[in-house]
This record gives sequence, structure tokens and C-alpha cells, in this order.
Amino acid sequence: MYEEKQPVYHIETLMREYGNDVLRTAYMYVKDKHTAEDIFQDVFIKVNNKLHTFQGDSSIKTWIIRITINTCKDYLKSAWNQKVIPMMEYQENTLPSEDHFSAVEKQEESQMIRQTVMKLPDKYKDIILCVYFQDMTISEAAKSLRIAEGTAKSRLSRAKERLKVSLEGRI
Amino acid sequence: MDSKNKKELFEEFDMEHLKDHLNTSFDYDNIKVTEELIQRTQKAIEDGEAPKIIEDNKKPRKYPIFKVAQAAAAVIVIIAGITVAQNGIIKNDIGNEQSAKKAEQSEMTENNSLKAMPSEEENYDVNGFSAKSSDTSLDNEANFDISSGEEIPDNSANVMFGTGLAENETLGEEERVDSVTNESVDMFAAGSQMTQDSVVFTDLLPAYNQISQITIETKEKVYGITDSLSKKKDLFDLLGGFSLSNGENLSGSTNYVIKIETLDNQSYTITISENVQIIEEDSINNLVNYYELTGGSDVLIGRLDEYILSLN
Repeated sequence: MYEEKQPVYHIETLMREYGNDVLRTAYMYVKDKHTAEDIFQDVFIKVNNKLHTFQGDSSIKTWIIRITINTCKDYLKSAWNQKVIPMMEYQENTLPSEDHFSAVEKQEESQMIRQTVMKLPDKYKDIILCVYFQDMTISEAAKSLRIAEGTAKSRLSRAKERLKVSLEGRI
Repeated sequence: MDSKNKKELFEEFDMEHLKDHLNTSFDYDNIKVTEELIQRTQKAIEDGEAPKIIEDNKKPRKYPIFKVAQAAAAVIVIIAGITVAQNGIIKNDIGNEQSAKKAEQSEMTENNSLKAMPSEEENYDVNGFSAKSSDTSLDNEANFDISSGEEIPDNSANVMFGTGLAENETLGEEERVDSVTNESVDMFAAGSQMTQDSVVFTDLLPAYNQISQITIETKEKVYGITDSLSKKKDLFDLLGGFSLSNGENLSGSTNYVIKIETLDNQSYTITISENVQIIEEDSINNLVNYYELTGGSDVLIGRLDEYILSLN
């Protein structure tokens, strides 16, 4: 008799494999590195505690990102209630040398794109990050965000339009 | 390649490279998982630490301030509404009671006025003279007392019923203008004056020694007194024993007509029947007053009959 075996996940493996996705997604919401690390820690504590409840309906990555987004939103609500406003990190960039001009130009462009995405309204940022940063399908993104697929599609379309308008002429 | 395809390719290019742009940006800012973060998290998991960020739906509500405030506001609104409603009802009740009282008072005042009015009207009809000589009777006086008594807030009408002039004057001084109409005030004054106008014949006539001639006309004969001062005095003494009050012009058979002429050519014509009419005349004025004999005119007529017999 054949029994489908549930994959066994080790928390350290999950952290090493999806850690950057969690940390960077968190950063996109909380806009602070240290807070993002706190979020990271919280997310993997939750994952460890609830791993036995994971049914395998979606990929483990989608499940973890969903926990990440929810934790970020809980934090933002809590921070709002406590009147704690996370400060943007101030990075003192060194002046680029002429040799690295091209690389610096690309970095600046990437920074500008990241800032633009971070400034999107949450509902558009959610779907953009899920689809274009976490490589989820529309269906997975909809499940992760707990919205209908049609809603996910329309939001993605509007988010892309908003992003395009914001970036037009800057890249 | 048409422009549409170019646009689509541009869009796809941009969006496909979004992940690269974001990761480049994160790498540049050194936002990446470190070994130290992994170990720290591992240790937190082994120590059984709880997540620092409490899930929103599991957060214990310390104090549902908004719900409490809403409930308090609702209670206040309800209490205010009930208070307003009760006040309105009470005021309406008070207003209704006051209206009923006022209506009752005005009704009674009107009744009194209606009773009193004909005398005045008749008075004006006779000669057009002032209402000072109104014929309001003692009954009317009693009505005035009732009317006045009703103006007292505790409705002590019975206390004032039939009381005399002093009480009326007291009420007049209180000037309860809000409930006493001008008419009733006038009637009040008239009543007081009427009481004061209760007189005897000698108050209305000149002294007997000022009389030049007296003519007494009965149904059968006319008697004249010119020289006999004693007879004049006897008549005036006789008349002086009877008091008069304001009365009405009643029709009926005349028993006596006594015409008195003074030395200064003033004349008084006293017609005695069921009541007494006195016409006071001089070269300018002609004043007619009507009186009612206290106790009736029969006694006076009887005494006059005896007096006429003494003249024979």
C-alpha cells in the first residue's frame, strides 16, 4: 500500500532557503532593517510552532511569505496604535568612483525602483511582491493574500499601471 | 515590430527585472540574512520564546474604550431623551391645568360681566350719562366679590364671596392685571361706588328750608306746600327715614309724584312706584337717577298716605 509521505522540514533549512525572501519582504513593509530582522525572527518562530499544521495546499515558500506579510501588517497596526513610526534607514553611500559608475548607476536605479514599490499602496504592493518578487502565480498570490483570483488580477493590473506611471521617465 | 509589441516587451522586461532590481538594491544595502540572525532565531526557537509581534486577531483588548464610549453616549442620549420627554409631559400637564383654571376663571368672569352689563347698557340708554350712575344691584356686588375672589391664586372664591368693600379694595391694590380684565376692574370700581351711593333721600335733596314749593300728586289729587315750613320738614323727615340704592327703571303704576322746587329755581321730581325715580333739573341740566328702596316701596307709600291725610 502506498502512502504519500509529508516532506519533513527543518527550521534551519527553511531559514537558510527562504530567509532572504522573508527578510526583504519584511523590509518592504516596515522599511527598517532591524525591525525587519525582528519580523524575520517572529516569522520563523511561528513557522516552527505551526509547521505541523501545514497541509501542503500551497508551496512552503508561499505559506511562509503569507505568514511574513501577515506579521508585517500586524506589526504596522501595532506600531500605528503605539504611535511608533519606523524610521527609514539612512545609508551614507560612498561616492562612486568613475570605474564603478555603471554599477552605481544600476544600484541607484534599483534603489529608486525599490523606493517606488515601497511607496505603493499596500494592496498593490502586496500583489506586486507576491507575483514579481516571490514568483507566485496569480492563484497562489490570491490564496496568500486571501482575496479572489479576479481581484488579484485586477489589482496586479492596476499596480503595474501605477508603477509604470511612477517610473516613467526615471529609468 | 509594431509599437504595441514594443510596449508589451518593455513592460515585460521591466516587470521581469523587478526582482533583480529589488535584490540588487537589498544586496547594496546589505539587507540579507546573516549567520548571526539565523543562530539568534534558532536560539529563540529552542528557548521557546514567543513571537514579539502579537497577531492582531489574538491581541488582548486592554480596554475597549470606543465601545465603552459609544455605550456611554447611547445611555446619555437615552437619559436626555427621557428627561426631555418627561419635562415636556409635565409642562403640558401644568399648562393644561393652568389653561383649564384660566378658562374656568374667564368663564365665570364673563358670566359676571354678562350679569352686570345690562344695567350699564340700560343706564347709557336712558340719558347717555356716565356709567358712574350704573344701576348695579347688591346681587351684582356679590358677583363682583366672586369674580374678585377668583383672582386669588388659591381659588379661595368662597372666602371672598359676599365680603365687603375693604376686601375688594385690597384686591384692587394687588393689581392682578394678568388675570383681571379691565372690564372687571371697572365693574369692581363701580361696585365700590355703588355701595357708597347707598343714600337716603335727604342726601339727594336740598335742605327743607331751601325749598320754595312742594307739590305732591297722587292718583286722585294734587297737594301743594308753599309756606308751611313744618310740613316741609315733616316730609323731609319722613323721606329721610328711607335709604335708597341704585335701581332700574321699572314700569308700573305711579303712586306718588313729589315735585320739589328750591329757592334758586332747581327742581327735583320724585316719582314713587315700585321703585323711585328722581329727576334733578335746573336751567341747564336734566339728570335722571333710578333708585330702589331698601325693603321695598310699600312702607314709604304707606307713610306718604298718612302724610297726605295730615295735609287734609
